[in-house]
Amino acid sequence: MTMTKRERTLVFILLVLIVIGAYWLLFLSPYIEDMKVLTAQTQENQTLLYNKSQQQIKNNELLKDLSDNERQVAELSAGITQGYDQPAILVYLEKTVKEHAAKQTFSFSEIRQTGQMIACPVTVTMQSSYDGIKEVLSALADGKYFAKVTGLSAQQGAEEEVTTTETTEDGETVSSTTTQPSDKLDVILNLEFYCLTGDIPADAQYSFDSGHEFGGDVFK
Amino acid sequence: MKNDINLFVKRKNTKNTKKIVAGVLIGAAFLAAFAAFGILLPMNNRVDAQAKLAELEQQLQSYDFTEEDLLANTEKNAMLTQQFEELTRLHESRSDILAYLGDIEDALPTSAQITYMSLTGNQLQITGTAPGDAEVATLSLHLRESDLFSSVFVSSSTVSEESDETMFTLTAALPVSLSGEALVEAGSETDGENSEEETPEQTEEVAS
Repeated sequence: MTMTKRERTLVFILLVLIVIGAYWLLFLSPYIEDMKVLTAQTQENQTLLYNKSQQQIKNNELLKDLSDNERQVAELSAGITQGYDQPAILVYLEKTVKEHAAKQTFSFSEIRQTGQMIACPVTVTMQSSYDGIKEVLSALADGKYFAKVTGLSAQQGAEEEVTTTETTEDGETVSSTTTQPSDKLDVILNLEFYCLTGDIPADAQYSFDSGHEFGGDVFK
Repeated sequence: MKNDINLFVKRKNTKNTKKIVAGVLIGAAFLAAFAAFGILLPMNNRVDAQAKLAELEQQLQSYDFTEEDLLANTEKNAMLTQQFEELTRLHESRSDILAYLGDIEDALPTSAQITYMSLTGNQLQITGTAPGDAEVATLSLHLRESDLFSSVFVSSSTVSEESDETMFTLTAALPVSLSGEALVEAGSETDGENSEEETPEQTEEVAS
């Protein structure tokens, strides 16, 4: 079978078309699709990388700020405990006041939250000398709990009757009663103890919680 | 004639052979160009693109923090910043009561004495006795000169019938309220400017 020249030309064109079609279908089209996907992924990753680098810068700044803030907060938090530990404050307050004054009353008011802190108001009523007041204030300022004085009033105590007994030359005993101003002051001290919100640490140690017996008739 | 021998060799058609050779060469060149530009180049491009993508992914993996970490750090920092601001405010609002007492001690003439003293809010109130108004005025003057008190105001001065001493009441403003916020500037020398306070002429109950 012989083909005419025209037929050969047609067959040749057909073969060329088949080759081009096969190239398109088997190689070029998948390649273009792959490249589209790769380009999209590359662009996406470049965007992600840029965002990550920006986040890295921000994170580094944040970590620095965090470190600074943690240090400053630690410095300022001296005496500010975690959670309102009223039993410990009660014992501390009694010890501090009794060292320099005669305690009369501790009146604890309702706590109030201020931001991340709790203010725990206490009114201390005591009798003390003027120096005793200053000692109490000084002890509270340097104490292990952060206490803020929100009010102070001091009044000279009521006049006291002083009885003096003297023995005369005749051997008689003479008693005389005079009134003189008290050297003690009636003091009302308004305090606020500050602590951070949250629970009291589970490992808190109490020096006063020892040497007791428990149980039995509670009205005994 | 029938048995004549053609002594001349039949000449080959060299023109057609050349054409075929040329055609084959052109075809080979075309195939080579096609293979180079149509297949190898795209394949190289794909390999390069894949390598670039892999490199980017590796760079992305080199970041050892996640967005959750960043968010957590941001929240923690915001909380710490708020805590720091609150603590700063708290420390600024914590008045040094001993400094107030020290200034009162320095201002009070030894011949005068205080019977009642109150520091509440942003006000100091003193009630006491003195030999005369000169001592009360001295106390007022010294308190006014102090850095800690302002608006010093003698609200009453009365001579006691029993002891012939002058009983006085004096108020002054503190720079910071003991319960918190800053109220007045320290060291102000404007006496009696408090709107609730009356003028000295109105209130000075000097019983001679």
